[in-house]
Amino acid sequence: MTLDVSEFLAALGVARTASQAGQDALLRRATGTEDTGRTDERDVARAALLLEEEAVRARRAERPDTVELFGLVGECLRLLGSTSSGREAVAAIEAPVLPHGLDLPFRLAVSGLLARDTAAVRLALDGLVVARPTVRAAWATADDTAQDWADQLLIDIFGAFVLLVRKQGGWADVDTALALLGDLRRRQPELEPDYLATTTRAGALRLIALFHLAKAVTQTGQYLVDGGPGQPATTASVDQHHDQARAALTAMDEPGTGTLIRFAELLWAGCHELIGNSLWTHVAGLGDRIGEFAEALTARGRPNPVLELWPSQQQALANNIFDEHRRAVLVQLPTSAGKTLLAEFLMVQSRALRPAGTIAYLVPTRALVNQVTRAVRADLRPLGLAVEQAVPAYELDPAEQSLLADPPAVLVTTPEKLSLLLRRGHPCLADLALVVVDEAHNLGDEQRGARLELLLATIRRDRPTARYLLLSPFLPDAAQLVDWLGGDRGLPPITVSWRPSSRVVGTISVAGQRPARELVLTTLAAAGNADVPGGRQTVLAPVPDETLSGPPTIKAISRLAVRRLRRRGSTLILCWGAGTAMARAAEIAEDSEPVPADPFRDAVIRYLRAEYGQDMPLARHVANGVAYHHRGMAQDTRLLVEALLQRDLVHTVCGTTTLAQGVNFPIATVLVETSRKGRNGRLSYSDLWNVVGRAGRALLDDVGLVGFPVAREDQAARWQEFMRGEAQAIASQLSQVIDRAADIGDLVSVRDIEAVPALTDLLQFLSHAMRVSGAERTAAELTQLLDTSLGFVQARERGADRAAALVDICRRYLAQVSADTTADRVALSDQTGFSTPSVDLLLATGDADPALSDETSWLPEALFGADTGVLARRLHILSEVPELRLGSARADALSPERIAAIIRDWVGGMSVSDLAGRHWPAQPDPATRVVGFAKYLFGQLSGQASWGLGALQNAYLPPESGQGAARYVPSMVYFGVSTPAAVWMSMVGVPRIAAVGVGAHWLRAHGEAPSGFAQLRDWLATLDEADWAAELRGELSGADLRLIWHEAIG
Amino acid sequence: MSQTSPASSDQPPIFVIAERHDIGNHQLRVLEPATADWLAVLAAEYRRLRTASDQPAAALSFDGLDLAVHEVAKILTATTVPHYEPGNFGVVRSDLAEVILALVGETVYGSRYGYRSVRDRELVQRPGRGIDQIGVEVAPTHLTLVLGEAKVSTEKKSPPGVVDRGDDCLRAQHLAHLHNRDATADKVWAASRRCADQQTQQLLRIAAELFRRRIDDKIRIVASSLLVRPSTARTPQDFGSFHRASADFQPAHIRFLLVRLADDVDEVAMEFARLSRGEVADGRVA
Repeated sequence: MTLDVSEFLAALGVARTASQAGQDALLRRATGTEDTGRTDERDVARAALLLEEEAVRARRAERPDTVELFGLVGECLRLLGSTSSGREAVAAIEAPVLPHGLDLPFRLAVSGLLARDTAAVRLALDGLVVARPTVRAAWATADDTAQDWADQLLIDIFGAFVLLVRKQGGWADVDTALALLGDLRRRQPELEPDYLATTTRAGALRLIALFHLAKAVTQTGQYLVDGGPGQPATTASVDQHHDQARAALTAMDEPGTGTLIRFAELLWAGCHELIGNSLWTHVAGLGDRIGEFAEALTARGRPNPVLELWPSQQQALANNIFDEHRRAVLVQLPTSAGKTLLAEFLMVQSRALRPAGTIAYLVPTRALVNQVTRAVRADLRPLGLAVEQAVPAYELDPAEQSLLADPPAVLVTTPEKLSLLLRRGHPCLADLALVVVDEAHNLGDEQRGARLELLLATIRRDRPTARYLLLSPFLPDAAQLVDWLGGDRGLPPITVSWRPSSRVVGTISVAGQRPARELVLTTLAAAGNADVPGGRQTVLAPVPDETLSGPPTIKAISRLAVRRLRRRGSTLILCWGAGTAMARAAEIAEDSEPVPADPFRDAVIRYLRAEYGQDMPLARHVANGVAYHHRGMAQDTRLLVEALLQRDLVHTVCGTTTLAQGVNFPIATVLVETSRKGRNGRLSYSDLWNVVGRAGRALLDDVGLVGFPVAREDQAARWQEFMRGEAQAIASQLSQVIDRAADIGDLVSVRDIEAVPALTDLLQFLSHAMRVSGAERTAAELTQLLDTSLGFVQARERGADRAAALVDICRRYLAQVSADTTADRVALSDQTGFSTPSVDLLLATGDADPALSDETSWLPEALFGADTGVLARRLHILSEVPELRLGSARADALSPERIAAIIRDWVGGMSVSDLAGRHWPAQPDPATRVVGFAKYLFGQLSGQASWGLGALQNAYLPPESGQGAARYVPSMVYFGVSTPAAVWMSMVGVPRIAAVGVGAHWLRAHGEAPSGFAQLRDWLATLDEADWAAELRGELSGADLRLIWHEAIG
Repeated sequence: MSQTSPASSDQPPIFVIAERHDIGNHQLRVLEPATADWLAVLAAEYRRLRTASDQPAAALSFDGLDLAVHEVAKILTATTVPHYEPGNFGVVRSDLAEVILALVGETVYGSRYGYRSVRDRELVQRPGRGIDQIGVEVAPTHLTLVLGEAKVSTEKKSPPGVVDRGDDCLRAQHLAHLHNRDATADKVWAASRRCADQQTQQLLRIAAELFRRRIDDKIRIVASSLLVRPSTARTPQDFGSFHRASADFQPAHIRFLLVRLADDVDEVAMEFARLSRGEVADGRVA
């Protein structure tokens, strides 16, 4: 009789028991507490077994509920595995097939694989299976000492399988597994005779079954190594051996063999999953280059070989991400779900299809440019594909112009820099094959969204054969984006919800009355973003009066939470503004013990002191394992903080929402103190989840904790309300222009640009089109031109009047520009990145200064000497350009003279602490002064002044003025160095503090500019400590710098 | 008249229902041997089940194995011929009742067992086994958990003491099973561990939990008793409180089968033991 067992299981509520167990387990792991259990462990153990039996049936019948059932099994086993009483409950419920030390890991391994919980289960096995050299001894407990040949076979087969799942240490576990299995042949003659001498027929059948299982696991392991004879042949063979094992076990017909048959079936199902997850399975048939890439990813010398794909990546592949016909592909997948590898696969495919085609990889921030370049370069180097970054400055110096002349396979940069390269017609983009847009939700960013959108629109028009890959954790209603970029050749958006780790979300508050107050986590309902439903309370710690004397505040709760949660991994505290982040870091550091010395950590501390002064708070905090991170910090300082986190050398970082821009920040816990963003803004739903999505590090944490410290009930209620929100579809920022159309004058002015920032991007877009196609044609084809923009597409959808308004503004602008033929403003606009009204403004004051056309007036010594008058005059010209925001619009704006002095000292190599002391005297506290100044310098001055000076050079220096030092001035301002050679060094990550000295060393060794980035990097890699030591300050040594460059920046 | 026959044979039925004393859903019945050679048939079935594991393994292959198989293969070849170890067949009187209980359960009611007392006597005889025969029966909408106890009594009193008197009587045993749900469910789990068949294992465990959690619309409980009595047995008095006060056993359904033998029960038991050992009349092994 066919029986619907699931109906009985539903009546028993085992799924509910399992879910509850899963929640208990998550809360235990998220909080490190033991008292979160609501479930009786014996009930959970029984539920696990009932569900496992049904899951096996479901797998056998290839039922769609297989994944869910194994997921529930896993939830039970994770809870039970977390306590000794739980493990005893498992052992008591069923006759042991495997030694207790192996039974739970094996079942957990299978349930994790079948539930597509790959990352979490690998991590869980890490804690349950001991180190490799003693692996067999660890599986055999004291009770198992009298193991016969069959027992030992059983242990090694199932143990080897567990190792194949865990994959710790790259190949180490796989090698150990295959060695264990291989060793069975050697041990057989030694152990089998005694066994056979006393065994029955059933015992012989058991051996035959185990021989077949050994073969199945061996073939699986060998497939992981090199793909063996291919997936179909391997799975067919595994099936065949399983069938034979099952037949032998069935023939035994002994009491208890039902359990053994189930274990054999679990093993078989697990082998199938391992094969299915293997990289080889997914690259088969995708061509030689993809095959070569797979070889490189699995190479034994690689630090973290990629032996399998995450379920998220498999899902993307299964959704035809490799379809060559598609012009636009959009993948929405959570943070840490493996998007970079997906992008790399597509990049390799792109190069296979168009071997000379350049790939542009767009990321939103300078930090990401560096991080992505390093990661992608390491992965693609074995294929001979050059990966370079275009320095995310607004200018292009002669060195970069030349170094990029030989187009790299992949160019990583920001939208602004790519836009510049495109407008300048740089040869590296002549054959643009693929544009990867990372963090593509930035299309909706208020500040920079229009720029990115119009860059893509320009590429659509100028490089019609380019393909697009958009990646983001949040892109609801993405079909429109794919249609926009790909038309009828867009791939339907791929949405993946798989995360490598689970997530617990809740408020953290102080509950109860003195003296018995407690720190309590109360979970919040956050559909799709949290794995424990709302309303569960867990006591994190008692709060004695001596740790909290007054009423609780958010600040105090953050401090208590960090103290309590520190041991589970690193914590990010999301604060409002740099000031709060730094203050919180100081408080947490004060509450923390010094962390053990580490060469890299100590090198970073000495570096920070040398550059920012002995009182640099960050250096002080880092010694106690605490850091801060905000936009006002130098690029290299932020990179160093990230490197410290990645090495577990800081346990707490206090940051701002700038972290939302996707830097790979490994965090176990995120505490969110504020929903404020910027001066007056509020975090959006996407902003928040983009930051807190980092809670839970793949293969480091199996659960991330997101806590909202709250001191009052209304604060808790606000967060609960916030959780009910949802991500908004991308809205083109050109809507700003349409909304304000009535305010924009007939003649577009600088005032309009100041009032509607997105207008400048639209005007530059039009200028570029005019320069490429001419004014008449641009006007004639305006609608088609605008059609390449998302904003126009969306405007038409919202109403003909909105589309007409946008067309009207553009027409007026085209007429305005066409009417004035006195200067090639359009070309200048296109070259500088300024709108034509801004160009007009620039020229109106610049034309009065004939020295601007004199190259000698642009030499570093003319600008950065004792007399900064020339530089100040040029800054004065730039001061009113709205795009630069250097000007006098703000009451607290600095005078051009003061800015010039700062730039002179900055370029001259003065430390940031000395710069602050000299130029930022209003703030008496040295530490606060340095921080305030650094925020200005790195957040505004170096980038904007560099851009402006470059624009002036473009406007006035004749093109034939050559490649001399004058042309390096914008880059010198950007990097804060005084020689062209130092600029070259800065471009490959040499810290400013050493760039001049190391640059001089290069010139002594080579006598000329480098021919390529790779040559520079290779040379730097050969330098010894003494080479790095030139012109160093303070305690900082050459060894420190060498270490910092190698480990974090270079 | 209903008949019972071994599930695996097309032999004539072993028992026929001679009397019915059913009360509502409670079955209280008297069985009698259907044929003169019933005991030989029962013993043959017993032997068949005891030696089931000696059936040849169908189509086992050694292809593609890394480990050497010739030594193992020798054992398999050598043991495909059934053989008996007469010493293992030391049948005692109570075993006769358990054999009948299991066989009737299987053949008449479709019971599935974690282990069968007829097969796995050495397991059944382990201390603390608790319930003589635990079975599960399958219907589309519910499972039936069968808690079976077997007794033999030649006592002249009616009902005999094994029905209603003493700690070890059928009544006490069944009431204990029904009242101590956790302990009984644990015994069902223990029985499931011995399963050779995965599906029965799963069904037993589900039945155990449905019983433990009193999910009455999905689980039916049968308090199954098999009592072997001589021809002097009196009915319905021999059913004792199971007939008089059947409500005491709620929520279980009573399934009380009284096997009435015409011959001396002890002699029948001895003959069954002799036949089970494969001996013919003069003590030779068949």
